[in-house]
Amino acid sequence: MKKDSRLMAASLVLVLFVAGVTGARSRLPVSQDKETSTNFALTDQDGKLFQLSQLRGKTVLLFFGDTSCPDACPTTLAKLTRVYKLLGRDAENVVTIFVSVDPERDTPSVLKKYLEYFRLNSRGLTGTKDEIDVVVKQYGARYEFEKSDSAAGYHVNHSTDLYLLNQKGELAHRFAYEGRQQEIADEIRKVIH
Amino acid sequence: MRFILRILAAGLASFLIAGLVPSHAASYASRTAVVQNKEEKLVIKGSWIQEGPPSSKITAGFMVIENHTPADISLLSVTTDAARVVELHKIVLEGGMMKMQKVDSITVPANGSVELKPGGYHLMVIGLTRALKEGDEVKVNLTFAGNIEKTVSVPVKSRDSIE
Repeated sequence: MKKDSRLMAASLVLVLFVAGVTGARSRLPVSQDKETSTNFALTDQDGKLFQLSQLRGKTVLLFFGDTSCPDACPTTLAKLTRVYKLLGRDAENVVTIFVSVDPERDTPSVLKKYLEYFRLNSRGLTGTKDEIDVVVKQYGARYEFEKSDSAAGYHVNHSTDLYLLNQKGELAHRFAYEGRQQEIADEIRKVIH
Repeated sequence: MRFILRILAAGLASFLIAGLVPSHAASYASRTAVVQNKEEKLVIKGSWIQEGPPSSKITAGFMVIENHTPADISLLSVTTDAARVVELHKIVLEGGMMKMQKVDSITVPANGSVELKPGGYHLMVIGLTRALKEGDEVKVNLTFAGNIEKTVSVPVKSRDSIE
């Protein structure tokens, strides 16, 4: 009986702790004021807490996708690799952020291995669905899961815009999927210089 | 008498050879010609399979299929020695989102062509059995309606070498 009570107390502490942690993290960037619209918090590819504010002073390219995406995501990442080449030394001040909208398949380690292939200074971010949804809403992005009889499992449909954030984390430009690499490089240079 | 019998036997044999064997051979040849003709009228061009992160078990394949016949021909299924499954998929831009759809077939129009390309139809290569690197060749078998089969050797290419 004593043992049961101790077990219950320990479980209660654990539940309260988890609720406290997730609750605190989910509350981060929900309002529309300046401070929160230039910040958000997720988990990076090393499993560590990431906040956009860590990249103050850097120019950021941000987009949403998933590692099972056969088309838009590798196309965008390969295009950004070429943008970095066009930028030359300016590329040192550019960080690409890939926010996965599929936390079930895209764990931090999956994201890490995936992004290593693309030669970019990048961060792969994930989180709980609620945490991801906050960031998706913040930038007006969209995604949905669609059931499928494909051997690849469910489909992840997502918007494909690329967001350019300045050194203060403010939105400087939004590129459509068709945005050319030269156009992206030119806009980045405008932000840097 | 024996001589006459020999002549009759030779004649019968000639009749059989002339009448049966050639006709069998001719029908076999014509059947082959039909299949070969159809195969030649379907041409696969510019095929490539996308190199991806070595950790990835999924990739996509692209190609142009030309149909030089006066009838539509449907691509029904695809297999490869490099993956567990290959499906026919299509990407569509809908409501501001890139959406993926699995399709049962891809029609190659009569005297026309269909291009499997990024942002459109593609071969969804699922469950890679080995990591594919630029320079590798992958055997891909395509089955079309009418039991037409084509096997092509498809090079693996990185996005960088394509753009």
